[in-house]
Amino acid sequence: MPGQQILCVAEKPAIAKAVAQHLAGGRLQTRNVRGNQYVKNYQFTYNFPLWGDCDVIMTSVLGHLTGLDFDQRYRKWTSCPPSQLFEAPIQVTIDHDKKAIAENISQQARYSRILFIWTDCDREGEHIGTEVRNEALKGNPRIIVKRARFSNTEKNHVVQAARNPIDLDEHQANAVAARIELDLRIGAAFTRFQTLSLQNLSEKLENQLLSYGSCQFPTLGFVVDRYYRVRNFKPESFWLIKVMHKRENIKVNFNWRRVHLFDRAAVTILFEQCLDSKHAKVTKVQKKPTSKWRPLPLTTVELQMQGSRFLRMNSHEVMSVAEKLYQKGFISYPRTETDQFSRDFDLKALVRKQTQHNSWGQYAQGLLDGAFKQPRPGRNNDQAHPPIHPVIHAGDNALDANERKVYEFVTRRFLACCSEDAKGEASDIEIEWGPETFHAHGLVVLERNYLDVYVYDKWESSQQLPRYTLNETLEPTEANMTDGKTTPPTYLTEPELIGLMDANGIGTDATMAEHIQKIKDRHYAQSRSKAGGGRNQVQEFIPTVLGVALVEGYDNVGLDVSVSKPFLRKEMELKMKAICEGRKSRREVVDESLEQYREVFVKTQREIDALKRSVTKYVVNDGRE
Amino acid sequence: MSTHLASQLKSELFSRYSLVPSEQWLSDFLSGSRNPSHPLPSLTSTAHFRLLSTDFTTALSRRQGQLFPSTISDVHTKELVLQTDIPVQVLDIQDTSTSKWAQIEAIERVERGEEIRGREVIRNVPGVNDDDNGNGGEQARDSSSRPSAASSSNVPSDSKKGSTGPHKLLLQDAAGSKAWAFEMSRVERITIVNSNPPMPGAAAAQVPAEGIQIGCKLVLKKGTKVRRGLIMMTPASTTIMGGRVEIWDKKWRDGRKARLKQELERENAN
Repeated sequence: MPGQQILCVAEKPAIAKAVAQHLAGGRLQTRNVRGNQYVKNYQFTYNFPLWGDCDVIMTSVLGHLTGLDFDQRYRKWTSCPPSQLFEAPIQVTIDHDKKAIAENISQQARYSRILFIWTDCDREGEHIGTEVRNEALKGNPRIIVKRARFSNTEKNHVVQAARNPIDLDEHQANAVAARIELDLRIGAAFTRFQTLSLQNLSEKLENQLLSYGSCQFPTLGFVVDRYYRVRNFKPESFWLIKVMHKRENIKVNFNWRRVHLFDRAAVTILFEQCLDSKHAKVTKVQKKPTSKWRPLPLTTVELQMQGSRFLRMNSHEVMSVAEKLYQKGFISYPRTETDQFSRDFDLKALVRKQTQHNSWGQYAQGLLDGAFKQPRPGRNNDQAHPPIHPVIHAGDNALDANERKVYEFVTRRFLACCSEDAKGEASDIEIEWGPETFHAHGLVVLERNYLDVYVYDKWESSQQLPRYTLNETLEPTEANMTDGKTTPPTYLTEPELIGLMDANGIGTDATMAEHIQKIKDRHYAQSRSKAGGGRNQVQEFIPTVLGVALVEGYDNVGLDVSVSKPFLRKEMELKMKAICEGRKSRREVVDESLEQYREVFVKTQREIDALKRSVTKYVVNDGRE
Repeated sequence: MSTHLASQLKSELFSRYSLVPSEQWLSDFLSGSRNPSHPLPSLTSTAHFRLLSTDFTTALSRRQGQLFPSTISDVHTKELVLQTDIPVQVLDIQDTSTSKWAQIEAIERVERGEEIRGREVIRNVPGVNDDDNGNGGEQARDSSSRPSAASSSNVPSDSKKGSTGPHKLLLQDAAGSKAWAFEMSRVERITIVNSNPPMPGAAAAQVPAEGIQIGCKLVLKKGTKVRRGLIMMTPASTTIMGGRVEIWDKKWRDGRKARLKQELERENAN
């Protein structure tokens, strides 16, 4: 039907603008939205293959349109016992400052035949899509709903997305709805309960909100656990045997196969046996090619981990900069678990866009001239987005300092993926001396390849090894029995914390940085620079007295249900996944998880003294019982 | 009671298992046996099996040739070779490759229930520590040795499968003399396993027979070398018969963490 109207809604104004500009091809009209200064309505015409020539209104929301809250009468903290919040009636609400945007949507929907949703393609985006849909239906109950699938705002990509609409994924939206409800009920019940119970134990806590989140707490749990491991550490001595052999003027150090032992008598006796045997025999001489693998394509977790290691920014900062770069169209969607590029992805075209850059342009050109290699595929594919990659060239003056750092990391990583592994030759010599075995290792780096662009990895040649012949006998030049002491673990750094959250299945790539930020905001943990610095000034986490009190308190309530351990949250995350895959319904998951947490809640109520004692011990009495 | 049977049994036990029971034990066994007319091979197996859970200092004969030589623990004797097979029982086992602190942590992980399926907590993520952070202790430039073996954030390969040693064992002969032995090369069954605490409601004494338990019986074969008072064990020189003495093992296991802690304190007080 010619002249029909399509309403397109993106998640953020910047995306709406970018998409509108690409599709409109220059003939764009901008209209203000009454009641909101950030959101605009862009008007243009476009020919959709499925729908023909259409008038298009492209607008956006500002993230979530709706929120969830308890019915009015349960909102005050003193209105009911916190345990009732597990069942109290809830309602969908629209924030006061989102009302104008919601109005805009339902208004525009009235004149539109089709609603085309352009929210980000991840779970949250899918849920926001349903929120938009619900508003649109209010204005036009017969509107047809479609969705665009896109991972970056580059023109061709956007056009492709526009021409190939898909449907909203109800499963993903339901997973988010489940999460929102669980976070609300569990968060509110525990927060109210623990704040009210513990607040009056000390004037230091008088007006403090002791918030609780089912992902925050295990995150804090890791910080506290590592803190205690460091504090409880006691060094121990160990002993080892070192052998040195001089040949061709090179001093070759041989390492003991047993590495070291914690029993001095045993090592002394073994060493004596070696000394009894005047000569050692060469039992292995091996030279073989070796390589250092180029990195895997970039995922969000990797970006956060490596970003906080190398870029002197914490993960939260890295993610918000990455988000900005995405909105401006420089990189692809930064929330992805995918670490493999699909076969038909045009990687060379992306490399071509980098050939003009000051720092790595030449390297990129080298790839195009023949050095290009298909990236290594990882094992993960979230089916929604490709690995994070640079989309267009970014001149240095288009970006601020932090953006430049992140863009550089993403680009160098991308170019490294498309390069050869670094190649070298490894020599291994093994000798048997008495009953013991020792080995020496040498490395010669022959081709740096990807290392030339990916400056974050190190691989260096060691001293060249002299020639040895299999079965020859030799007399060690020097042999000693020496000792050492074990060293303590270090406090958790942010990359480690992200790694732990990922390994233990808590937090999605999208939320990890937020949870880490949350425990800092709530004064449960602090970050400080590692003592002794080093080049990179990585931050390490120390729990506050309050953080320690809460974790220890909950551990004392009962270990089998301790909320500072990851398994409860991990199970919840797995259930979210089950909803997305259609294996479980939203209702099932909400009921099951609420049951689990309610049990914990009841137990906590019964054993509230354990929590009180812990807070008294740490917050009131500075650590004394 | 047939003395002929008794002497036949004695001879079988010696030739098959290098075990010589005491007269008292032998007569108790035969008189308690419900059907002494069982064929000799099965009687021998049964006797062997029973001996595995006895205290060797009472169940075995103390005749010469079955005992440690008197100088076995002498640090001044550079080398001594055992002239006969010697049956012994294990009184203690230690892992010399792992720090006590790491062993204590491993025990605590089991106590916290973190080794139960579905409740595992991963506490170490490889590859995220600063490369230029040289950990004190020993760090060889050569990448084939364990890079941070000296740093204690490493977990021993303990957990469910058990420690890989090398281990030191305290052995006791039929006369009650004790001597230390060292696992020179890997002897498969010698391992310490931290078992999970029983699930609430589960049958009590379901201790899995994994690894070496206290009271375990083994035979040090003729030809076994002893260096400066330390018996050198290899797969070829040792026969592990198995078994345990339940009350000793339970006591050892219950007190292990406290012992490790005490030793650690003592070491650090110096």
